[in-house]
Formats: sequence, C-alpha cells, structure tokens
Amino acid sequence: MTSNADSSIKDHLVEISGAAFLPAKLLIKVGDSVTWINKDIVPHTATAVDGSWDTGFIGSGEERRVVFDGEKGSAYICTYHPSMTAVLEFD
Amino acid sequence: MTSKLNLAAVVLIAITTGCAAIAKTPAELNDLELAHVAYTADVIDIRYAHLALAISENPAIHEFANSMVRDHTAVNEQALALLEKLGAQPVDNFLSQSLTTNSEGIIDSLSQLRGADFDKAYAANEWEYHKAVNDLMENAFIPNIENPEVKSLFEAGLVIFKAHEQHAEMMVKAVQ
Repeated sequence: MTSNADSSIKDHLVEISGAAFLPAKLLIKVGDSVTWINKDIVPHTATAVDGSWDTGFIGSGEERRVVFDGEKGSAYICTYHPSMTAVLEFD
Repeated sequence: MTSKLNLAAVVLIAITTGCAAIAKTPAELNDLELAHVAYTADVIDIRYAHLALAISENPAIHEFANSMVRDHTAVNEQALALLEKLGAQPVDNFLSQSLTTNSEGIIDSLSQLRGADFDKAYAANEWEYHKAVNDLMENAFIPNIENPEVKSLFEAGLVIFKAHEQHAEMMVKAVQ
C-alpha cells in the first residue's frame, strides 16, 4: 500500500431521499467505496441488478458502505422499491 | 373484480349517502382525524399483504407484500411516535370507518381466490388502492393539514406510497 494509492481512493456518498438515489448516476474508480445514507422514513437497499453486490437492509437514518475492489454490476435498484433505480459508472 | 373496488368510489359513496349528515368531506377532516385515516389505511394494506403472504405462491407477490408490511408498519410507528410527542390521540371518523368496511368486503372477495386469479386481483387492488389513497393524500389531506410536523410526515409518506403505486403497476403487468 502506498500513500499515492491511498490518496486516489475515495468514499462517495449517495443519499437516499424521497424514494430516490441522489445522485442517480455516480462515477467511481475501482478501489473506491460508496456509502448510502437512508434519509427516508422506511428501509431501503442498494442492490446490483446482476446481484454482484448488495448493501442489504438500510434502515431509516442508517448507512451502509460497499468497497468496489473490482468492476461490478453498475445498474442498481432498491429491492423493496424497484422503481428506485440508479447507476454506478466505472472510470 | 377487485379492480372495480375503487377506493375513490367508496369515499364518494360515504360522502353522498349516510355520512352526508356529518357534513364532512375528506378535505374537511382535521389533523387528528386525518392521522386516524392514514393509520387505518396503513393497517388495511398490511392486512391485504398478510392475506397475500398466506395465499399467493408467487415470489414477486411475496416480495411486494413484505414491502407493504415493512413500510406501512414503519410509517405507522412514526405516526404514533409523533402523536405521542404532540400529546394527541387520533380521532375516528366517517372516512376511517368507510375504508375499514370496504376493506372487509375486499378481503372476503380476495379470500375466495387462488393461484393466478388471486395474484391478478391482489395486484390490481394494490394499484387501485394506492392510486386512490395517494390522490386523497396529495389533493385533500396534505393541503389542509395545519400542524407542520404532521404535514411533513404525510409528505414523506406520500413519496413512499407513490413508489408503492409504481411497484404495484409493475406487478399488475407482471402477473398478466
């Protein structure tokens, strides 16, 4: 592990609010992580459509983080509310 | 069958028949009456969901029903917490009573069905139910709520219930 490698890695935030992922499209790099923060009054998930990653249950007021150590499925949904869709784009 | 069991029609009947003597429309209900209606509507959808979980063998129906139980329970817990904070109690009213009476007929009808017939009827009813309740919330309830915290909770709930409406529409198409 080098300091250069560490400095290039980012933790991105996605807010879940109003039954939507904000931002709905996020550009990330391999090695980055994404934290989803649920600001709605009901639970949600962020789940890859191809099943390659999943935050699992995110209760109201809770957050979950996923590290993307390789390119994985980019389209994702909330499995509880499938009309909620978003995309991770790998740079 | 159940697609004809439109909540809007029930509300209209309640207003234009026996309940007319009370001289109230949904838009005239006060905050505590609206809280009772919302709580009742949540409980009704949870009952529909439990029926679906008991009868349906379709995994997509189960996923939807579990979401209804999860979300409407969460919303009701927050509503009760808010009422407790405000030191208030929800007030029963004509609309809560009409919704409950209507739901009992729907549950009786749905209970007679099995297999794909049940799945189609349950999905159709969920779509109609959410469309009707969401329309009431958006156009009759929220504009007339006085307490800002109650209004905020209704607004937050409406966003989620609109997602339910979209999910129900997807389910209706999936079980055709």
